[in-house]
Amino acid sequence: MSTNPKPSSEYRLIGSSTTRIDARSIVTGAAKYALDIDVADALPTVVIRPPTLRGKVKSYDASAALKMSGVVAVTELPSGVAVTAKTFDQALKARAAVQVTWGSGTVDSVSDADIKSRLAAAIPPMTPAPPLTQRVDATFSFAFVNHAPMEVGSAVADVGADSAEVWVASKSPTGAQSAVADAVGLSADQVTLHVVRAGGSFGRRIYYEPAVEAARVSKAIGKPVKLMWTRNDDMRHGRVRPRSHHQLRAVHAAGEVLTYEHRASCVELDLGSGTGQALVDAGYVSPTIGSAFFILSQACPYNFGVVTESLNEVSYDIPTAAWRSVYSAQARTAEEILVDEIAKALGTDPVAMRRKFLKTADARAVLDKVATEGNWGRSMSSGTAQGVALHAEYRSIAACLVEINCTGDKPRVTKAVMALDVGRQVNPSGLRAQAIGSLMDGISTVLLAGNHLDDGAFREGSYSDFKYARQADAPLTCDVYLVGGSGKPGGVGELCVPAAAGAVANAYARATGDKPRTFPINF
Amino acid sequence: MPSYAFKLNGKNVTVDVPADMPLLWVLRDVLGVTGPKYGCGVGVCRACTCHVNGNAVQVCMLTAGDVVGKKITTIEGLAPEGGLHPVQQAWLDEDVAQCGFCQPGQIMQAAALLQSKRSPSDADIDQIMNVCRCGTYCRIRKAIKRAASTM
Repeated sequence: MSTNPKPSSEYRLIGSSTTRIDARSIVTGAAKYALDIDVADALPTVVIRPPTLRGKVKSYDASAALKMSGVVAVTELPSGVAVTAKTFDQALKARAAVQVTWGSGTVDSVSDADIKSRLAAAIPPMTPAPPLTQRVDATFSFAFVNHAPMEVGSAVADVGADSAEVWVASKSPTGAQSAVADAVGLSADQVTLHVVRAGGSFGRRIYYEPAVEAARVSKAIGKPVKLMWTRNDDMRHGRVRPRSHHQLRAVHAAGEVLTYEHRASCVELDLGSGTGQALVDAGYVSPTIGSAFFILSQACPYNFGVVTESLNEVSYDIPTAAWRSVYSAQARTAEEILVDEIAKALGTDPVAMRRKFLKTADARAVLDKVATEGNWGRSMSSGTAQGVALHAEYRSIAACLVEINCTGDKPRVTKAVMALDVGRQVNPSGLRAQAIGSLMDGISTVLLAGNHLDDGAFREGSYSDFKYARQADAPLTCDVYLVGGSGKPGGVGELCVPAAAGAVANAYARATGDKPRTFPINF
Repeated sequence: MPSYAFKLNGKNVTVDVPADMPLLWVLRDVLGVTGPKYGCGVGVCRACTCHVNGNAVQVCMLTAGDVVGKKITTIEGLAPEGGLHPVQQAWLDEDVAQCGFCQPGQIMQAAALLQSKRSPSDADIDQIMNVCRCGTYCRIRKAIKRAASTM
């Protein structure tokens, strides 16, 4: 029997748009997320969490809570104190009745300003520009950003003496299975882990704290439980994209870029067992897994002469996790802003500048597509502007052109045009969906959404103060063009975030005359 | 415990629950209706949006006592059994859903908007505050306009 794939001329499904196979169950409300699954007698459980990150329980008094209606049990966990009741309403109300004395957290004396100065200090000296050259310098910083999936952390667990069953939305189920087994004293093969649908992840569900907490409570009380993080829990104790700092320098002479240097620093990124161990195994162990990953993932798409890029990570015991596009959303966004500033220094148009310096014809093709379809360079009124950016990664390339209006109460991206070359296209509608979603991540993280760290605690508590984009922040039109289409399929899930973020920042700069340096801009 | 009676998706129901129990938990934990989602519990994400007497409301902000004698419609009751409301059909036609978690609330919000405005403008659609963390807003806008043209 032949093992060769059939020729592409015979494809019937690959390349045709299709909706999700579960789309109907989603729009009718039938789709089941972890807490919608009817596991018999699973008891609602919530956790009282510390006032600062990773604070520990010193002691607690649950006597009043245990007398409240419906309350079944109160259980101490490494992460807090769990309250189990017959309804989530009862569990949530009983949380307030438990008196907990907290020990200190891991970063109680640390706030954003402290981290920002340590990150700046971690940047090595930039290479001096040689005589008879000019340089463009820029420093950027990006705030922490919560993943904030719509579905909060949640899991169902039923742990017995010699077996356990867990229902959790997880991107690393074998890791979750092992962690649950370790937590309740079973072997991994005694744990049956059901991977259920996720209400968003963006990197968050690489980690599985709710599954471990649910299993611990279930074991302690001898009953199945369904454990839910509140939105406050998710915002204040969930994971974040690490705060980062970027120093960039381009040296140019006679219209050519001679050197390009990008020195980044960030709060250490917890890359998780899977990614980190793979890099260790591959020999990338020094100085941190993250800096090795950074070098692997960052590639300047421009002919900028001698290119030097590095990342220094600074250790803090803060719960971080890869956030859609990992380091690229900050590093490549910073680079795309610098490209616009180099263009200005050279007296060149941003699209012409990119066309001149891009390394590949494929990259020029996606850029040309957005420039043409987006009518690049059209006359626009004061306070409004176009912006463009490009990103290449995962064997794919994306370009984004946006128009922004900065004349109102807050900036609004009014139009977006994106072009993608992802090699072989599998589901064009799904590709476009990823581009549209990534665009909203770019708009949100550049203009609106981030998390402040105040004395070891995240300030934001919900979508009221974590200002992820809503309908009124979305462009009225977003056209996504697919170009290329041959060869191996590339990645697309994270591809468009840096292109979108860069385009939004560049449009903002052109509309306002400001040089955006800290993100989100309205923070 | 006090007893409260209301109409849920066309059927009369009576629940014995505490007076201050949020309707979201009455629906999910007492009545087993899981289409309305918990996303924040404080009325800002709107993943729990349902209709009370035809108006879009966040059921995390209401109690059973607030809806006595009223008609509550959740995503499960938006269309007749086995069928699709034009808004749901438009959501399929525009391939809106990604993770899908917010979409019951988005659809209920859109259906209520189209009840009050047969042909909503972009400014009307901009008033929708439901969060979609996957960022499906552009397709939601198109789907609302598509539904408006078919209703």
